Amino acid sequence: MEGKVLVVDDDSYVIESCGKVLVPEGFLVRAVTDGHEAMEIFFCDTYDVVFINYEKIHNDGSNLVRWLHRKYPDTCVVAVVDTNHEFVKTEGILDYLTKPFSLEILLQTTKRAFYLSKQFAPSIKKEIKTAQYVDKLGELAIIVNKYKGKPAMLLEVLRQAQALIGYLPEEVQKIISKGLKIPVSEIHSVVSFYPSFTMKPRGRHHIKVCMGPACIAKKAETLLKNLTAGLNLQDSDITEDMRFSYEKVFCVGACSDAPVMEIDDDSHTRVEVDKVDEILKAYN
Amino acid sequence: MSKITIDELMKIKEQALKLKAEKKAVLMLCAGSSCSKRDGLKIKAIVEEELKARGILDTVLVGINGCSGLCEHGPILQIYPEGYFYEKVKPDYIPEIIEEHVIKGNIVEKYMYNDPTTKKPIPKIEDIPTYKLQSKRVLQNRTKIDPTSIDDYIAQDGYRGAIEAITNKSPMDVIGIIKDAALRGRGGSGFPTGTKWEIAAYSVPPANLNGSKYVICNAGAISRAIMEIDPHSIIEGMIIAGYAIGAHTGYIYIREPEHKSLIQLMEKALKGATKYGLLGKNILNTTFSFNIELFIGAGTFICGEETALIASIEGKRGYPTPKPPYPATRGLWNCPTVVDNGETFANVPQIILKGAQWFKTLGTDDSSGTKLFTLTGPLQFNGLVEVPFGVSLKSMVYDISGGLRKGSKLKAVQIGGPTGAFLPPSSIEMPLTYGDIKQHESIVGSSGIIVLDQNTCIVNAVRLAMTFGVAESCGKCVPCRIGTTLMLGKLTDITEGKATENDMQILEDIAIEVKRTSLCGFGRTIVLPLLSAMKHFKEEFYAHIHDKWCKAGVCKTLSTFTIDGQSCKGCTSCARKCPVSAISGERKKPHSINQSLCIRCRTCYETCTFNAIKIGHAAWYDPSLASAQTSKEENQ
Repeated sequence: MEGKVLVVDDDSYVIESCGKVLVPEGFLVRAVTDGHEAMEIFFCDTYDVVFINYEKIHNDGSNLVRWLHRKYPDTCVVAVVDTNHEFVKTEGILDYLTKPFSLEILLQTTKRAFYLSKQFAPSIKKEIKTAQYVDKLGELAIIVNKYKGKPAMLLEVLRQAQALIGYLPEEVQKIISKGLKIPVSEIHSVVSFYPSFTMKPRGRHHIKVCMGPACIAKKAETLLKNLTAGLNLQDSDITEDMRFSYEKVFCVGACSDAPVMEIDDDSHTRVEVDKVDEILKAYN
Repeated sequence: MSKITIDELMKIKEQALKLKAEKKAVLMLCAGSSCSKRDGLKIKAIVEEELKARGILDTVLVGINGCSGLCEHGPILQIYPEGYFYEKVKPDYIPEIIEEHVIKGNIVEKYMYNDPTTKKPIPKIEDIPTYKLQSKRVLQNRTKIDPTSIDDYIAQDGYRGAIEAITNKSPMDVIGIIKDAALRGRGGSGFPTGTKWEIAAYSVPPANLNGSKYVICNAGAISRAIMEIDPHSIIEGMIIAGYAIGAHTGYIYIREPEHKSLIQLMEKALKGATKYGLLGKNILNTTFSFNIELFIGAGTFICGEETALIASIEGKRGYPTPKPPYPATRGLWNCPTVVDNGETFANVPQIILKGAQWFKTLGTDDSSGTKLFTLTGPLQFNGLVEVPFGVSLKSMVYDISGGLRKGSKLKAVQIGGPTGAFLPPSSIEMPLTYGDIKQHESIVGSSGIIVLDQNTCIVNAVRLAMTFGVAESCGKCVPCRIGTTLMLGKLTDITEGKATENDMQILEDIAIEVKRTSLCGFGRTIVLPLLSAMKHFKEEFYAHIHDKWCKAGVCKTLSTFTIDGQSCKGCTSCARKCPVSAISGERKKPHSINQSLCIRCRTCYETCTFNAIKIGHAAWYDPSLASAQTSKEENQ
């Protein structure tokens, strides 16, 4: 048996599709129509994942969520919401499933939620439940699981985690700490040491301007000036629309091709300092 | 695939050569990063289409090669068997080149590279003066092979060295040959490679780790350049090293995860070698097994230091550890580990194949073989060059790089990358060998040669080098962590005109102490730019301190720009370029600069073709104090 799923919904479509998709995958599925019933069931048996229709529940869905969060922190709650519904991230809800959904998405969401319920200690879960990147946590769990108990793979895990989420906030480091069995202080020390890792969010495109001696000799300072002026940046290192962020780096090791500017995975070598704007146009 | 035998390997070689020989022509496009950016690969598709349209695609082979080094003239198209090349190829050149060259056999001179002095076309890359003066060993396959193809490498006698070592020689023989060849580590410190391997071969790993030893390739800037051109040469060198010391695992450590295309290239190369059974279990049906993994770091310069690199592979903060124990006795996971630069490994296969005596035909007694350097600065040619050890710095700057650009005068040369010393023009006769470079108090380091002209302020250059030091100091040991910050503070004071003569002494004291007490090579060398500049360019420091005058006009608070009325022809070009409109004056009459508006950006100085812009000392400074200072010195 993979795990136990409880569906709290009066929509027969949701209940039927859960049964159709999840039972063959080895999940035990049980469905109830209101919150009271759900609570009663929880007195006899606990469930790993709870799908809950956030609006239609008679007993005010948020009550049940709060109750589960308090009493059964290991249970992962997924809210089933309608399209275009502007949901507010509520404490206790770890993931969302938007109706109508395809059967694959249902299965994916369930597996992700199942990972989350099994992987993380309640204390971490409480913090991450409200985080911005909550929808990426399932994939993160898969990465961490792959390298479970291998502390030597820390750099690899951190790199993949950053590629997934874009940066490495404290909560993510705690998740990795748990999976790899390394104290979180040590993880923080590694994250803060290597310049490739960042704890600050980055723009959609991240620009690195090399400030090595060879690049300086080839007018990297003018390049930087043109860049910040072109992006209308004063003191901040990220544009308001989150399109670009930039940082100065020291010697990327391409001295023969100075000056060098790197945007995401592309490195722009021998940049003509007056034509920075044209390079940026290609990135949206 | 089953294990490859030597015969099979020779068959692959013959086939690869035959494939090329059968074709009427082989067209190779440079796929280096610079050419790729100028649509070099798009041109490949256009070439193929054009050939197809003419129905001769079967008789011609279209391939790619790694960076040819002529980045400023890219995209480059080479046509074999003659090896002629066309520069700055544009899509509309293609039909004519194919019609004339490939079909009729006439070269198209107008698209060829012209010699800058004689203005005559040079049809072959190796005939370009800068290439003629270089030697080709590590880069022997430059422009010849497709870096993504293992068959191409085998066709150039690739993996013959590894086979020779594994099948015909004992590990001790291999170490003996490397020792005879006097190969020294190309990573900078120049430790004899053979000795390092010998120590690792005789060292015993901890009992619980069951005979593990490791070979690590430290892929710095030069190694990465080699990888882009000829990745298998490094892999082959690592296999031989693994065989010599008895290791079964190798790592290629690439510091920067940003080099995605290079990482893919290496992954492909490793896959190719594994497929042919040159990596893996029981290589060539012997008992020797060896695997190589790529390890991608997360930035930081310090992880080029071998103990820090090892810590990084172990998943820790990249802190160096005290030596001894050296990695050769106790390295990765406390096992004997050989850490070498990629360039060192790339030298090994040829030494095994051609012998130690052949290797020593180039270079000096102290430093045998060739060395790769990157040349940067206001030069005719910038980029990667390979020269025998013992070539003088003068020949590097004036011959191989084609000399300085028009209007540039040599002021200083920084050897050894960001932590190397600044040398004055008087040191230019020095031969480039490990011994001589050390004698001039510099390092081979990351093999960068940066040429600086009169537009550089040495004090500012030292300050920037120190900024690098502050940013990259790992922070483990106190002298380096605090020393670099203190020195940067003092240097900033000098460039801002706040320093006194006493500060020079303090700077020197700190620098010497940092050099003496730092834990690793980074701290010991980060002071070299400062110490060398203070020795060779003392007057420039004093001009900043006493006269408040940055003669190059780089330090903004210490310079004033004025227009010399007699030289100014009133061409208005400076006035048009001035970003703050501080320059005024009538056409054909001398202009003047409004000092209260001037931001000292140097634009006018760089624009003026008549040398009419003069750089004076800081306007806020009373020169009578300076003369008082000078007379005081004279009196003493």
